Amino acid sequence: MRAVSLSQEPAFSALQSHFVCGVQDISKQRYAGLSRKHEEDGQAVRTTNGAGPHNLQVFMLSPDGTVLHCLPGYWDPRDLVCEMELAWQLNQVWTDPSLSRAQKDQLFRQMHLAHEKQHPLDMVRRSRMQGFDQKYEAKHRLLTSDTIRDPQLIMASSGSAGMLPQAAFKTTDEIVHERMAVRPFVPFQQFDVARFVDYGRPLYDKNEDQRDLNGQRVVFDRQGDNLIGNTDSLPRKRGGRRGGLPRFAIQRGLQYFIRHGVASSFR
Amino acid sequence: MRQQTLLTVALSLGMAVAGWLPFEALAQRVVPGYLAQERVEKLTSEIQWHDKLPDALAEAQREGKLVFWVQMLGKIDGAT
Repeated sequence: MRAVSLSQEPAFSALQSHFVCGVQDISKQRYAGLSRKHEEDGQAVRTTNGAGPHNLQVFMLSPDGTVLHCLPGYWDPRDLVCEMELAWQLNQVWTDPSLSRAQKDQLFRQMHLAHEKQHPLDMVRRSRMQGFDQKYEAKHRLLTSDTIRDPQLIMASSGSAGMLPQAAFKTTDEIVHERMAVRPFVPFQQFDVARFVDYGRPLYDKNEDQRDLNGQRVVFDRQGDNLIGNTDSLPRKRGGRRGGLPRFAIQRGLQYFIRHGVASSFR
Repeated sequence: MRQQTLLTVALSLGMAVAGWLPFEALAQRVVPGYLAQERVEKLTSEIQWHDKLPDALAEAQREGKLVFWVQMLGKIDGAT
């Protein structure tokens, strides 16, 4: 997942005018997800807000390092600017000497929740969770996930094949603001990134280089998959080499003994 | 057979208009490689990207700006 969308207006001008920018590679972080490797001149795919939360996060910080906002995954440049404006408003609250800490925290919660309610319909439509992430949430934490609005609706539809009902899930803009609302003005170093970005499956990849310009996948080549990120986040496949090399060596030794040792006793 | 095809097309259009189809299916369009590369070059040449948070925070304090801190797999100007 690349930050291609940040060069697009209106986000690009807002970044230039109002922010100091920084970037960090999180490939070795325990909360990082996985992606296939993409070259510099590889294709990119426009996707939905909040897609790939484990692989990309944007923080908006006060100059003292306090987290005003965090957006996991990709965000459309138009929606990004909408969230930047909120971050600026929150910074005014944070730096207002006339407010107590309790008042600031209360305003933080109120402003995040109110902002989500005011999102334009287009933004909400761009914020639908990816289908594979919905399936992951429904399969792994149907009754506990804060991304699911109506577990009953999912259970009722579980017999039918195909897509899960959209109405059963919150949109990613809703999830993000609800999660931020319970983390008022947290210093960046204390922000629990792992929990905040935890929705959907760890692997995010849209097979960008295997699509035509209309977005249709025209190549189905999984050879040479070169994953980057936290490979420990992948569920182990059944039949894989579990237990590492020692276990593998013991298994192979036993197989050799059974095949050749038993055979020699019959000679 | 023809009636079935027409019915399928009509239903698909109806569902798309009603917003039943996943938005990702409608919105998914590809940015060609050369264009993606151009955009990344613009992003990295016209904006300075700090790689240490304390440096970004210090500059933000001097200039009265906020910090936009991106965490990602790979590098912003290279393969990811």
